Amino acid sequence: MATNELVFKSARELGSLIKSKQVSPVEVVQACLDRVDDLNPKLNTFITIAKDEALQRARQAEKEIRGGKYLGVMHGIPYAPKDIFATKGIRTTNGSKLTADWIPEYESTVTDRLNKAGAILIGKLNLSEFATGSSVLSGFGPVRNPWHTDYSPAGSSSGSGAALAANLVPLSMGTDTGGSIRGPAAANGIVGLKPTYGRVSRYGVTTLSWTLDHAGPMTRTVADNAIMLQVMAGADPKDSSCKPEPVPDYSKALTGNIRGLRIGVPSFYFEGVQPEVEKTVRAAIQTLADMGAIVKEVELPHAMYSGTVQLTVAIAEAAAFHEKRLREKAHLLDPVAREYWETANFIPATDYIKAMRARTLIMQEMADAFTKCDVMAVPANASLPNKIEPPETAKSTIKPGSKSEPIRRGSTALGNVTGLPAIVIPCGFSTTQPMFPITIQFYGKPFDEFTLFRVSHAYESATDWHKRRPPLQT
Amino acid sequence: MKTKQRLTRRQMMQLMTVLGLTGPAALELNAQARKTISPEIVKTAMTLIGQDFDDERIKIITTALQRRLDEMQLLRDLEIDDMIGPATVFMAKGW
Repeated sequence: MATNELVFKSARELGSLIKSKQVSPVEVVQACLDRVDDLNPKLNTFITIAKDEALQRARQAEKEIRGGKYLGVMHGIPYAPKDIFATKGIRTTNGSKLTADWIPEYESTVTDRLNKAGAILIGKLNLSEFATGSSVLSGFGPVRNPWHTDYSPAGSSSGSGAALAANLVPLSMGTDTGGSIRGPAAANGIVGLKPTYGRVSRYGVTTLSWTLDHAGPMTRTVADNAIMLQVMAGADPKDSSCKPEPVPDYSKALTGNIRGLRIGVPSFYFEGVQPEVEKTVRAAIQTLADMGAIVKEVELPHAMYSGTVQLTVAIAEAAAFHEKRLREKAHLLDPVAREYWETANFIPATDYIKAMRARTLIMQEMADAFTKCDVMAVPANASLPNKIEPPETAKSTIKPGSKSEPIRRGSTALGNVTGLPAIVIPCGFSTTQPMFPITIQFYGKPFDEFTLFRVSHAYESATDWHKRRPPLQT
Repeated sequence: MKTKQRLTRRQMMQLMTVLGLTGPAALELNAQARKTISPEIVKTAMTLIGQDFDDERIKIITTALQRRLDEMQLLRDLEIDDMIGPATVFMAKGW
């Protein structure tokens, strides 16, 4: 079957075509479903395909739009969330055999908001089990990276990253407790935003860690990400952690103008990074400087504690949340999730509290750093994607031949520990084979996703990395 | 007779700082002197936490805990000012 060109369009482009009645939501949804049929057996991105429900909603949207009841840019646009967002009447597996047949009787706030804005859910996407497992041995098996199917798309929002890169769906959502939106965004070369803690409701999202979990949009373009956050963001009485901060009009950030914007570059996050990745990210920063941004070094002396703080808090809270499952059905869990959570039993409460105090320290340090800059730029990932592991090594976090690393250098944990917003966008490709995307990550001030969209859209507009397509045969 | 006293990890860290050995390199050096966790230690700790694991699980947990020890020590050695409290989520109003 020839691929319908509609699947390669952004949500914004599709919205324009639908609004002007050049295409119908039914055509768009059908094009995505056809591509899912073709490629899902190869990529294993979708756990559930909601074909009948999606087509029914598309026909309804078509009727509404023809009748003059156009709801806005999301009306008739297909989306697929990570299968950790509760969807009323549609099974929500959390990527686990333990909840494989769960059909929620309620809807998560963000899927509810998207549905009410007219977006059409076409299915639910695969993930690392409970957003923390190995992926390989998780309940529904490994997702494959569309840039080379022997390689990992990273996790835990693996299906979301891969489905977007493979043009199966234009909009997705993930969750991020230590980098689970941004890691797959990096490995698949798409746009992933972890909003500020409290910007987006987590009602109806299965918990991994109460104080570290974030829900956020995953898309192929920055403009689509801004459109999606516009709908998702805002206070929610069902989630007490969700703050009543005003939600600005994000479309106003998409100007392309970054003259005078101050970009901080923390040296710590460039240590231990693959040379090709570092070179590419520094070149992207230079491009921004050429566009009028002011680049300056910033120091974050306690950033090196972020990874340890994140892991200490995450596994302790996850073990508390999954206490009953661990006690009664641990043998059915992904072995990596089980290893993390059982080990967490032996972490003293004093270590957890120390980690929470270190969070305060790091947050104060970031607040100080952000008096000197408006955003910070770091590599999203220190290295290119790895091959999908064989089950023998995937079953544990301790890899054969590996040694103890007291410092976790990844650049994503900082955002979870501080709650600060961060966005990942493509900024190049590796020159080695197989070719993989390289991405840059921008951190922003609390609730300042606006500036993140401003800088990332300006960079995207000046480059064409986001337009490349994986070499998939259908 | 005077007893020989060993330096604590924290004292070792402070000494390295005085000597100008700071940052990741110093921490990695310090980590090399880590203690060893055995299955017997885990079994004893199981009594404290009220959990029961079989030998296979104890082996896995022992290996994972040993690997995490350096990281945990890094955090334990961090000096934090008395004025800094934990980033808590407790709210007296709003639930």
